[in-house]
Amino acid sequence: MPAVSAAPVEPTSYAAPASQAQAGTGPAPPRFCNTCGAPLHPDWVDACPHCAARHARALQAPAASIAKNTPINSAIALYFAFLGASVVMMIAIFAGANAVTTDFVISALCSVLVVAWCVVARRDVAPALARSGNPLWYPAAIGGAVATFTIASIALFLLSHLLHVPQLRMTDEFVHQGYRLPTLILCIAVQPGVIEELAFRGVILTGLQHVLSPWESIFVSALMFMIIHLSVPSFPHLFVIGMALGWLRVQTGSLYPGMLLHFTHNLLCVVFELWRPFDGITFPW
Amino acid sequence: MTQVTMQSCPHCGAQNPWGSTFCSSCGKALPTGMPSGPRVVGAKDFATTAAGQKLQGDELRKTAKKAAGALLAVAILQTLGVGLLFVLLQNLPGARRGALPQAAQILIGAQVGVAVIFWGLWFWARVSPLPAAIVGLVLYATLVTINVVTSVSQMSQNNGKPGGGGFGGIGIGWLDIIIIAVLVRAISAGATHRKLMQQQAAGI
Repeated sequence: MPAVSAAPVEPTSYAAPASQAQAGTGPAPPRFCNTCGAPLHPDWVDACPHCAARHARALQAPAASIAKNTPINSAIALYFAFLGASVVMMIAIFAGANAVTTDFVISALCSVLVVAWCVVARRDVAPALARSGNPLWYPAAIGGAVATFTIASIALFLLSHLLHVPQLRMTDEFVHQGYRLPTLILCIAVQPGVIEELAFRGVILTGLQHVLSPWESIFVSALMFMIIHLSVPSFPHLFVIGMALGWLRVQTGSLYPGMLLHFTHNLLCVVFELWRPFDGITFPW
Repeated sequence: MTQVTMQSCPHCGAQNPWGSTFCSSCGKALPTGMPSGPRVVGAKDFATTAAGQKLQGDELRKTAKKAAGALLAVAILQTLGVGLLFVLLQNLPGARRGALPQAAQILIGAQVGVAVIFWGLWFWARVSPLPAAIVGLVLYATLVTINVVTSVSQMSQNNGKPGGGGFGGIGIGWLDIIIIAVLVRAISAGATHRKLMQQQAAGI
């Protein structure tokens, strides 16, 4: 039984038999429906009007393959890898491990994981790393960080004073164990600034853009960024920061302005926590 | 381009696509023993005719829209859960009516926040199912994970006895699995649907 190449592809559903005669090798136009056996009009060969269902010829035409959903799967998988790291950290701290040491280990593992992920997804991430964007975006990013820091401070101030949500100070544990400013900046500002940007604005946002519109991708990646922090009181300002970083990434085409914004925001948090100019107000992540 | 396997009609000898029930040339029934009914292109292929693409697109869109149902179910359950929690906390022995302890207020606030997000996701999924399903999956799976971690740590505290909270012993139930499965399928179908639209727009 010869495997015959199926009928030539008709551009529309109203393919005239003449087009098949021109193709030469194709089989004669069907006169009966393959599925229900009802006679077909010679001009209307794509779908059977009698059984209406997803009929034969329309769907039996040679199927071209759809590009796989790899980038979007990779984006979602990276999110769950981050979630897994958070779970390991929660369990380790619950089991009595030193919180700061656990943070060091998990941060290092996450960094290695994200860099490896970027190497695998280099087709998506490399263009954003190769581009630096308009130099004017960098001062704008620092201004943006001041703005997001202000918004976050106000949000947390309102939550703690109106709703009495308790606040946690990230630096206390580090300071308590004798770590100094350079370690704090490295762990709280540099590492998240670079690694979270590579992950959320590099792999995830670009992966989503394969199937979503730019605004949808920014919105979805901002929500993912918000949820992974696992802190409901911080959701409002984390969402604002995520939107700002996503918009910056799409607008500049580069990851560096976003890294600068993220780094500056976290740096402001560290500095203000240690400096304590306004006692009683604690600062957001 | 893949090749479609053909079969000969025993009555007139015409070639018919594999899986056909009737001959397209003479209209007589073809030998049984092969699956009858229409052959639908697989999930990784797409039809090349306009009619086929429309049918396939409708099918994919229908699957993607099921995300809205799953998100609605979560929103309703979450709302009922918050209501129940509120009533339980109000009637705790020793609790004064109308004056919940601080921790309980924050707990209820967070749960209400999650319920509101799922109602929002349901509305969004009715308009564009794919992005809403992605966010829904991420949020729901995160909540289930936290639930599992909490239950397991409670179990280890209670020397192996299942702690409170969660549907089953370890905080994951059949409903969680079904909801996650529906969302995963919806995302897959939604993404394929968008690709189909992109390829159509590009004129392939």
